[in-house]
Amino acid sequence: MFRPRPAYPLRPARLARPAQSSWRRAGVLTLAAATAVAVAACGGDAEEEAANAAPSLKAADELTEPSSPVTITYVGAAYAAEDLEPVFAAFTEAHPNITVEYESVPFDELNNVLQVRLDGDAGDIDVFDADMPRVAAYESRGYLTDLTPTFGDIGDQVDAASIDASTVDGLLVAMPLQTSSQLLYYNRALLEAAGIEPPSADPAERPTWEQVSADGAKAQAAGATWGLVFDQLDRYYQLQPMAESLGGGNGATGDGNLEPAVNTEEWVTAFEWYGKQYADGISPRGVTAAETPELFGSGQAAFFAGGPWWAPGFVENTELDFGVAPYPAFEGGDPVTPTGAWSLGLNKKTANLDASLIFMRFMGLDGDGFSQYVENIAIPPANTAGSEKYFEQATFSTPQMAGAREILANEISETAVTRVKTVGYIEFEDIMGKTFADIINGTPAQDALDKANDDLTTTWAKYQ
Amino acid sequence: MTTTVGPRRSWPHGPHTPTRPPAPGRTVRTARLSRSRRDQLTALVFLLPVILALLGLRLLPAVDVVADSLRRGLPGSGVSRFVGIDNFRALADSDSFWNSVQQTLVFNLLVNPLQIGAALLLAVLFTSRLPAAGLWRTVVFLPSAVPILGSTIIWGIALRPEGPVNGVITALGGGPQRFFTSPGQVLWSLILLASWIGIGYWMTFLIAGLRDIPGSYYEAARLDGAGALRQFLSITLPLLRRPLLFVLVADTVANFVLFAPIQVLTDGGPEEASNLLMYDVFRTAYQLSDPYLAAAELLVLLVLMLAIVMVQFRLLRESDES
Repeated sequence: MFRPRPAYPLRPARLARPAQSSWRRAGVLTLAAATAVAVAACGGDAEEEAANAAPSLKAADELTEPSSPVTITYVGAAYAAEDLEPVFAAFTEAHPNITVEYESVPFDELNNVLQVRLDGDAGDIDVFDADMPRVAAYESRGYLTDLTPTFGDIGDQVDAASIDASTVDGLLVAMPLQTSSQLLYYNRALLEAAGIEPPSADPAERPTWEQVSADGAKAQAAGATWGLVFDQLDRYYQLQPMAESLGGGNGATGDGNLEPAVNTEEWVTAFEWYGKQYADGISPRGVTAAETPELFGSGQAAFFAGGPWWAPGFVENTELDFGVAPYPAFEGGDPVTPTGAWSLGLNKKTANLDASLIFMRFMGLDGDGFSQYVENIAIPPANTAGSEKYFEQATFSTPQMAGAREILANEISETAVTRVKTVGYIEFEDIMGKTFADIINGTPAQDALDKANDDLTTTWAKYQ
Repeated sequence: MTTTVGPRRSWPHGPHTPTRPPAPGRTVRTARLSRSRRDQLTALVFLLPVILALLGLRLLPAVDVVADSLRRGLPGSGVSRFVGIDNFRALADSDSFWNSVQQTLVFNLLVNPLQIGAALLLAVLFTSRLPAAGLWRTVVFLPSAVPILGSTIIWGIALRPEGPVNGVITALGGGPQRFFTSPGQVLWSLILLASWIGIGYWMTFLIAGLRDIPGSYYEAARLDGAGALRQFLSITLPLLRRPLLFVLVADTVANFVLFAPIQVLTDGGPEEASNLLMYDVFRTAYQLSDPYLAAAELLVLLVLMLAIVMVQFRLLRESDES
């Protein structure tokens, strides 16, 4: 993981020099600067372009197994290494000459890691997790490889929304692995103590944000520490449906989705409500997305709007009496839920082209895809056969998760909206993340969203 | 001074002649030259790893930064073109960048005097006759032995709106504070965190400096009737100038490049109030994928830091000469 050197302790010897040498050093720097100008003026653009040329891919049935052992490096953020061990073991059993070395990277660090390691000339990463909304940005940066020659049309094996999310300009540039949706978890004991009727699991009787907030406040009065906790509390993935529910759109319009539209009336209304939850103390300030599931898991929160991937952990905790309902919408607004998840990208500069493609085929297409080897599949697979098996898992048969199967199946096909597709997504995600954090911390929604709109206009100018 | 091997008188040539028997002059010079060349060569061989490391790890990256700051390219495309000072112009036009510069200067103006003042105070306290001074010294120094990431996480939890610090404040009858979540308090919270780590560390250098001041000066001053304050101002401070200069410069540099707490706790917020330059450079380079603009920003940070450090050197040297 890339982390700059901490500031302390600083080695004293470097700085305890007399003043004169500083001036002399300044002279050296000036000289260096002059050299650099000369170097910069005659940089080798052609060389760099050549390095970005695409490799030529074979058809899926022409891929050749390596004749001697090779190791492919897989950098991922979707799963912890131990969850994928059985997958890799099954893969190596089927393809004895290929070993997979998995490097798990925290979600927030994945962009940085990929940028540093894919920008170099060396193909030290072969395949990597690509968050679906980032696919267009990664493609424009030259990180991804067009997989169409090998995999062509995979529509009969993978769900349509996931294929769409992995396609840029009609070319399949990543192998879809998963899709996703959200649930509203509630703590039955905390609601009972406050005399609140738990929300229905029927998508037709979807709870409203207003009601959940009011009930959350009531539960707090009866002893709950928090009324309503949002899983990824400052991420666009979690919060986009709020604005969409009021008809505010996905945040960008125009050619290539490069005109920001995050300060419309609907966006402001949605996030005034969101900021109010924190100002009123119904939702917690000062916690990070990584810490929120624990607030519900430890029985502190009445409601938790979060992913189904937390369910196995919650079910394991026998002291936690909980149930699930559909992800709420605003009163009178459209039912809208987040979706999209991970796909697998292929580094253009890989030295193990066929082995990597064989691995991608294994993960996404062979049999039911990777999920058939995973003990507890947390996230619904994009592979349609795998998806059916996902819902047959033990977690979904527990009384706590009653109704979850029907809710998720309904949301993925009926209410899911994809995140905005734009080459400027990485900047968008970063700026919106900071904006949501500011709104949580008390900045008026209008001011925060106006600033975000301005910042996006500035930073997207380079793509126009 | 010339060192002589035998009695000087045995050579009748006066004080400046070689100390060895005068074999033919030419041979002497050659032997010496080759010897000094051999010395130089040996020195070079020993220094080579360091020189190579300096070139590869310091000078080349610096040259690279300057080169990058004059180029521009689409994020991650790997293709860039020479644009002269366009990146610096873009920075000059950016409100967000000026906000970063301003916050960085404000932060340093507050944190450095505070840390050094506190470190000096504690150093003086712990070198005076105090019961269990060694224990106190260790307690104060301990935080700098904790990795900065650990301290960051601990303080992040302690200063949460519902955290233990607010618990104490409320128990004492005060209102809960927002700390890292308030644009008005975030810099102060960072100062608290940085000082908790830094004060003990810088204190040890000042203690070493205090130990170097001969006790006889204080004895003499006491005989002349000087009080504690007078002794501190007339003896301690002037004689502590060198270690103080080092601490001042090193602390300034450390605080200029403070990064981990911001990356972990605030992401530069709320409302960019903690968006210090070092963090903004990182964000521009890795989050927004613009290494060229980040290089320009880094150069500005370096120039700013160098200017301040040079002023510090000059100020303390001038007072040295006077």
